[in-house]
Amino acid sequence: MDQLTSPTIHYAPIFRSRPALRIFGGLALCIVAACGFDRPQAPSEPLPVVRGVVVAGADSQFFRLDWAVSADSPWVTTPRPIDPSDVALTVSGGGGSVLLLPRPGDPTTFVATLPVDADSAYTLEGAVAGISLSASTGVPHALTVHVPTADTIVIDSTTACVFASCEVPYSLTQEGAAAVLVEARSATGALVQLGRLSADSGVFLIRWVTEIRTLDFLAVDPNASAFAAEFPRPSIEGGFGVFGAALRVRKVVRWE
Amino acid sequence: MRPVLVLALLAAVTPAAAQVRVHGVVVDATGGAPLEQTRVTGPERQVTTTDRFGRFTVVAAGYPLRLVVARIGYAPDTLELDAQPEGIVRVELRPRPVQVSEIVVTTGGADPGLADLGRWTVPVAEGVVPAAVAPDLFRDLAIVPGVTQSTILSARPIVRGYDAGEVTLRLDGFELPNPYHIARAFSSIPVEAAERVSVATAPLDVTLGGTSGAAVDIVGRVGETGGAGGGAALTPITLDAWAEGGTDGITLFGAGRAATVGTIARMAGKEFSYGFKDGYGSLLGLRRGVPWLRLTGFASEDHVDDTEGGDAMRWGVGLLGVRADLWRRGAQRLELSAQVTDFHETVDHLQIRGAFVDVRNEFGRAGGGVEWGAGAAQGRAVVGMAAARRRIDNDVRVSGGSLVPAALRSTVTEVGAYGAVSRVLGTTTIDLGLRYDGAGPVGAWQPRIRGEIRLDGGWSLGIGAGRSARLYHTVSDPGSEPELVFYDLWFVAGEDGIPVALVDHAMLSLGWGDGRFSFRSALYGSRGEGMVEVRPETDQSPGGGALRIGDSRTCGLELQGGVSGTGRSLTVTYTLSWSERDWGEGWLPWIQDRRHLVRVAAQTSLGTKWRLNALAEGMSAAPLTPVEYVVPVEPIYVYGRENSARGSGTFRLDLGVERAFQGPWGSNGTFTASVTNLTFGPVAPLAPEDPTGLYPTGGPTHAVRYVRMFDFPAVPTIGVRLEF
Repeated sequence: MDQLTSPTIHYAPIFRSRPALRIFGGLALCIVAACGFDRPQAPSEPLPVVRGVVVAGADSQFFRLDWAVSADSPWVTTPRPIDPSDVALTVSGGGGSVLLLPRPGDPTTFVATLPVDADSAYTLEGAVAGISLSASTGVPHALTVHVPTADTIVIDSTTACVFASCEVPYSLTQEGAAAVLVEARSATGALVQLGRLSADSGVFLIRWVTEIRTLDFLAVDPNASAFAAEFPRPSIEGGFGVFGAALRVRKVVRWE
Repeated sequence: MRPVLVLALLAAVTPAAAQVRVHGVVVDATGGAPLEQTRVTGPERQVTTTDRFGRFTVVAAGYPLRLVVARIGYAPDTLELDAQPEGIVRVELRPRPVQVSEIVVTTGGADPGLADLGRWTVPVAEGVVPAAVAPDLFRDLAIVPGVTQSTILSARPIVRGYDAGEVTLRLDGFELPNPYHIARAFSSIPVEAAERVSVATAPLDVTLGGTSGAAVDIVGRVGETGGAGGGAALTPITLDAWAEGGTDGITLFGAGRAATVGTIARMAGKEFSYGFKDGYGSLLGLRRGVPWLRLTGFASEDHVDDTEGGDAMRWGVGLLGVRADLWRRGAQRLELSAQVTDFHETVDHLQIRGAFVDVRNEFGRAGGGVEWGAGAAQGRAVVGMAAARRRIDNDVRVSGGSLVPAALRSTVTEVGAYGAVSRVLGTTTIDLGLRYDGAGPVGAWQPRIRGEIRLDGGWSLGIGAGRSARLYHTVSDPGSEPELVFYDLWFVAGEDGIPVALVDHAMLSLGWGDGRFSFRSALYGSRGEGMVEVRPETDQSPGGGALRIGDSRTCGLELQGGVSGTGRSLTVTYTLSWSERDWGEGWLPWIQDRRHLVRVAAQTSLGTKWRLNALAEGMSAAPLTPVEYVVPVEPIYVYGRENSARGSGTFRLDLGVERAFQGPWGSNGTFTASVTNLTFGPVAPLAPEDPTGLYPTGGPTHAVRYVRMFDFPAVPTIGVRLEF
C-alpha cells in the first residue's frame, strides 16, 4: 500500500504557516526558558549526624557524631565535630543506661560503656545542641559462622585470587537479622572493604590488600542494613544517621 | 439489576415500527480488512460506529437515504440509497496519506455509542512520528495531548498524570501484560502488525476495565481477501516481514520482527549482547463478506546475554485470543471472546544498582466473556460479563543495594460484569453504565456517565464522570529512566494490606471541525486512593517499608488544533496539567508532574515522491527532590521535602523524510530517514549529581550541583520498506 505515489497530490510547503510556527515555536522556547532551574534553598538550621551500631558481646559501643554540611556551601573533606558540651545522649537497654562520652583524642567519636546482649532492645535518646534525637533498635538473635572454621583466615598461594580479589568461602546461619555484612579492617581499625552477602553460603571476594587484618561477619538489624545500602536510609528521629545493632563474628586475616 | 430497569434499558433501544434498517460493513479498499470505529453518519446527523468486525446498522425513517462513511487515514465515502439494498452494504474506503491533524478528531454527529468520546486515535503509518532507531507504536502516542513519556529513552505511556503501570494495554481488545522490549524503550508489538493505536481516557466506556486511568488499544492488521501480499522492512537493528492473503471465507495475516544488537555492541567494545523476536498473527472469518470471527495471536521473546554468553535475562509475552459471533439478528448480537495470556521473566544474579537480583516472574490469565449488544438510531445497549483465572508469581530476590524484593504467589478468579444504555435525546446523547470488577475477596463497583451535546456551528460538547478500578498493581520505578529497569513488582489487592486502586474521574471536552481546520480540547480532573509506589531513595523518613500507599489527584487542560491541506498538515498541542500524590504527609507533586507541554507536529509533501515530517516538543521541568545537607566525609546526601523543587525544561525536535520508489519485482518501496533529537536536547530531567562527584579533582570544592540525568545526542535512523 503506497500512499505517496499519487500524481494528483499538489504540494505546498508547510512554511506558508510561518506565523503559526513562529508563535508556537516562540511559546515553546518561552516555556522552556521560563522554567529555568532555580537552585533550591538549603535550610539554615544545623543538622546533627549520629552514626552508631551497638555490637553484642562488646563492652563499649562507639558512636560517630558530627554536623552535616549545608548543600549550598562548598563541600568539605574533613568532618565537622560537635562540641562535646552540646551532646547529651543516652543509650539504654539490657537493664542499663549510660551517657555518650567523648573519646579522648578523637573529636568525632563518642563512647557508651554498655554491654550489649543478643536478642535485646536498645534506645538512643537525648539532644545535641538542643535538638532532640531518638532512635531504637533490636539486636538479632543469633549468628554462627560454620566456614571458615578456624579463627584465622590464611591467604596464601593456594588461595584462588583473580585480579584484585581473593576468594574466601563461607557458610553461616543467622536468626533475626535483616542482612549479613562483611567488614574488612586494617590493623588501625580503618574500614577497607564493606560487603553484603547474598546468601547463607558462598564465596566472599576479599580485596587483595595486605593491610587487611580482620574480617568481621555482622548480622545486622534493619536500621543498619538500610543505612549500609547504596542510598542510605536513616533511623534517627530529629536528626540524621543510624542507630543499629549487630552480632559479630571476627576472623583474623593472615597474608602469606 | 431490577426488572424495571432492564425493561427501561430495552425500551431505550427498541426502534419505532416505521423505521428502515441498513446493514453494512466497512472495509479497507486495498486489503479488504474490516475497519472498526468508522463513523457512519445518517440522516439528521445520526452517527453510528462500526464494531470490531467493521459492521454497522443504520436505522432511518425511510428512503432516500444518504450515508457518509468516514475514518481517520481514509478518504470518506458517501452512499446514496434510494431503496432497501439487497443484503449487506459493503463500503470500501481508500487509504490516503495520513495527516497528523486528523488525530484532532472532528465531531459533528450524535453517536449513540459515544465511541470517540475521550478517545484519541493515532493511525500507524510511516512517518506519523519520525522513527527513533526503529518505528514504535507507543512512541507514536506522543501525538496525543494527554500522553507523555518520562524521557526520550522511554516508550511507556504516562496518561494524564498516572503512571504507565496504571494504564491497561490491549491488543485487539485483549489485555497484554508488559509488552516492552529492553528498558521499555520500545513496545514489543511489531509496528508492521498494527493498523492503529488509540488512547481511551477516563471516564471510560463500561466495556473497559482493569485500569484506574486510561486504556491503550492496539488494533492489529488482518489479511486481504482474494489475493496475497507481503513485505519486508529493514532498520539498523530490526528486520520486519509480513504476509497476508485470503479467500471470501477467511483471511490471514502474519508479521514478525527480529533484532540483535550483539554484534554491534561487541564491535563497540561492549561486553553484552541483546536480541528480541516478536510476532503477530490474525485470522478473520467471513460469512458473505461480513466478518464474524477473529483470532489473534502474539508472542515476543527478549534475551540479554552476559559476558560469558549465558542468559542473564529472558522475558516474553504470549497471547492467544478469539472473538466470534454466537448469534446475530438485525442490530442485536451476542459475541463470545476467550483469551490465554502469559508473561514470563527470569533474571539470573544480575548486578543492578549495587544489588544482586534474581527474578522468576510469571503472569498468566485464561478466561472468556460474553457480550450482548443492540443498537438503533436513538439508542444502544450493551451487557457483558467475563471470568478468568489469573495467576501471578512474583519472585524477586535482592541481595544488597536499595532494590525491593518480592515473594508473591497468587491465583484468583476474576469476574467482570457491565451494562450500559445510551439514548439520543434531540441534540444530546447520554450514556449511562455500571461496571463491576472482582478478584478473590475484593471487588469494585464503577458507575460511569458520559454525554455529548451537539451545538450550533459544528461544535460538540462532551461531558463525563465515573470511577475506574484496578485490582492488582504493577509497580516499577516511576521516575525517569536513565538506567535500565528490569523487572516489575506486582501487588494484589486484598493481600497484605494492599488496597484496590479507585479513581474518580470527571471530564469536559469541546470539539469543532470543518474539514480543513479542527480543534479539540479537554478539561479533566481525578481523585484517587489506593495508589501503590516504591519508596524513592530520596524518602529518608525513618522506618517504614519499601512500599508506600497513598492518594492521587490530577487536573488539566488539553488544547489541540490542526489545519490540513493537500499533502500537508500542522497540529499544535498545549497541555496544562497537575498531578499530585499524598503518601500520608500532605500533597506533593508527582515525580512526572509536568506543568506545561507544547508540541508541534507538521507534515508536508516535497515534490511527487518525498514527504517531510517534524515533531517538536517542549515540556516544563519535572519535579526534583533537593539536597539539603551533605554528611561528611563519605559523602551522603540528606534530602529535603520530596519533589519540592523543579529542574529545567526539556526540548526535542525530531525530523523525518520519506521517499516512495518503485521497488524490485513490482513492489512499492519507501525509504525513510529520520533524526531524533536533532537539536541535541536538552531531553533529560535534572537531578543532584552523584555524591562521589563532590570529591575535588584538583579544583576547588563546590556546593551540590544539579545536572542532567543523561545526555542524548542527535540519533540518525534510516530504513527501507518494500511491499508486494
